[in-house]
Amino acid sequence: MRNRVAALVAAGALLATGCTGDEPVRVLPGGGPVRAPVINFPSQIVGLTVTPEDVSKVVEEVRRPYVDSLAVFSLREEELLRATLQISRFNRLAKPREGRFRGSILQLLGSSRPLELRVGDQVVYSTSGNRQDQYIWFTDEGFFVLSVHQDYSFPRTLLRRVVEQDIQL
Amino acid sequence: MRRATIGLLVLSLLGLGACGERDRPEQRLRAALSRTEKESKLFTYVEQVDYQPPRKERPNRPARHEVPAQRNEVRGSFEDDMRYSVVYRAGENDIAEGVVSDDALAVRVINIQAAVANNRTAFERLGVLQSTAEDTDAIKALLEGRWVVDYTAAPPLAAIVNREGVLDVGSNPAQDAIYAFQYFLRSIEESAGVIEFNPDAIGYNPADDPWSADADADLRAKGIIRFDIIPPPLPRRGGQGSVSEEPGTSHFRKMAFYVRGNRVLKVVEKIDIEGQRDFRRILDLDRGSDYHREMLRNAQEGGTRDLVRERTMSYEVSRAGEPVTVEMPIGDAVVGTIGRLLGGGDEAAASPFSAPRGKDAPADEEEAGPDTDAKNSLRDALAAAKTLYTDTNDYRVATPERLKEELPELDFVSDGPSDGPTKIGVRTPSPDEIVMVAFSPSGRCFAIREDNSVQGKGITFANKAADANMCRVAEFTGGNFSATGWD
Repeated sequence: MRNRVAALVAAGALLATGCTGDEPVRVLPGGGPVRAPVINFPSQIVGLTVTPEDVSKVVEEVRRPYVDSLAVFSLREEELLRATLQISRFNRLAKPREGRFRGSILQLLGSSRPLELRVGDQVVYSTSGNRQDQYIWFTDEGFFVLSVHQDYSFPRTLLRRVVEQDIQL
Repeated sequence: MRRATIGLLVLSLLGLGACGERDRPEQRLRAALSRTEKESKLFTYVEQVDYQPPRKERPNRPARHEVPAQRNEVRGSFEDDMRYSVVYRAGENDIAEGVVSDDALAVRVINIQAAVANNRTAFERLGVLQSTAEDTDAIKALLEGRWVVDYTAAPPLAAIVNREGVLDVGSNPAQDAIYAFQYFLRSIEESAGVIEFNPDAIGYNPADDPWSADADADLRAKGIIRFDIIPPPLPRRGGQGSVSEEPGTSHFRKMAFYVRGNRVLKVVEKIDIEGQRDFRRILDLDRGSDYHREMLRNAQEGGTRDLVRERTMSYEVSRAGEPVTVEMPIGDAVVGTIGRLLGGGDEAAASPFSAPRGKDAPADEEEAGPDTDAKNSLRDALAAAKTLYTDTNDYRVATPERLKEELPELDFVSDGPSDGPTKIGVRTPSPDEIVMVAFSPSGRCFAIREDNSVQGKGITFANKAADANMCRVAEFTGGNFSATGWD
């Protein structure tokens, strides 16, 4: 099961690999050390159980210039993994308000041109591939990657609920 | 030198300077489209199609089916890209409405009789669904004009392109309205460029402009900028030994965008084969090359790269950027499985929101035959009866007299006999059941039954050989009826 989570977040982790930078990424298990994002995320959402994942082994070799912490949550329906949520907090080198910067992150997803959506007041970019849909959105503090398995029946309901969460990074 | 001068002149005629300047109107238009697409808004989409006869069928090409004259209107509102609502109006009647909220789709047929008259094929399909689908209650509720909610049937987030790589416009106006901005962007990509409307430009010809009245409207004074897309030139003759390319919809499309304050107010389109500039010279002035004359003749007969559907369209935006709330009609709705009736896949092309196609369209698999009139009369009669039933939940109100009021063009008698396609025998064995018969000149008696009782089976069909004086409801028993149709 952990391998499935790792596979689902791999694309998100790869977001960092195409960039230059010397600092290794600091991967933080749920409730980790000092620079961990403090995330007030519910334990249940749209009936799915939310669990913080330790993905340190997946991404500890990854280098990136603009993220200083990263957390990953799995969202399960009983034992079945339905989705993962990757939350990355920008460091001071990031330029989240610049379209080109955001575009470069989206490009690193490596999929076709993303579809731009508005969900509430939030712009969300959607891509599909490898039996999952990915939804990516940005705030001034970081960016979010929600990967939802295509067999899951309520991806948009889940997306809206996650977007509406007041997540402080 | 002379050639360079001509080149510069051509560029200036088109309102295009250097490369950067050429892109500027397109960039401004794209920015306005992007902003408006993302905003909350109300919209009205209107499509007017004039009658188009069937065109010559060509090998390995979609059938050029008959397109009936039709005015389709879709009014709607967008709260955001995953919450919106639409009302589909065909001609003078509101037909159906739909609400999308995240993964959920709610649908209601507003006027059953008008809906059946608008697109018989779509309702036959629903009738078959009612008989075969697991969720018969949902389809039944839909046919009774009640709201039905399917929590996993929201249309795709993006329009689906067909095998030819183009957006399939025309089969489902609600879908066309929902994905209108994708269509606009694709139209820009297929064009030869975008220019700002300037009736004083030396290259402007009002005869090429379906909206030439704008020249006197002083749009600028109203803060409105109009952008026009430039249709690509007709394909050139192929070289020796090669086949010339055929023109497609993009060559016959004229489209104008009205923008104020970086917001799109209105988009208008006219797709017209004979209005293409080179073709118009042939038709109006009897001037033009033999190559273009042949291309015009071919295009008129259906020899085009894609299915050219001639039409006029307008899309008007109001209250852009203001808060809009779209709510699901959950209160009295039936929860069930209805599929993607609003967008995506075959179901969208045969739903209450789909526009009619000609009688020889591929979707209308049944060809006109000697029994068509009798079958059509029965369908119309059942639709009228359902209207009465919806008001009372009792088919016994569907008396011959009341049915005659609903459908004056048909005659109704209790039980029978029916001696022709326009004379319907009717019987209501119970409040939930109605059976009707019509005699066909082919010598067969056709029957249609709906049973809404708990043990009922929805709409079923039957037919048998009969004399005109023996075409009665009493001649049919439950065992004669089939859920899959008359054949």
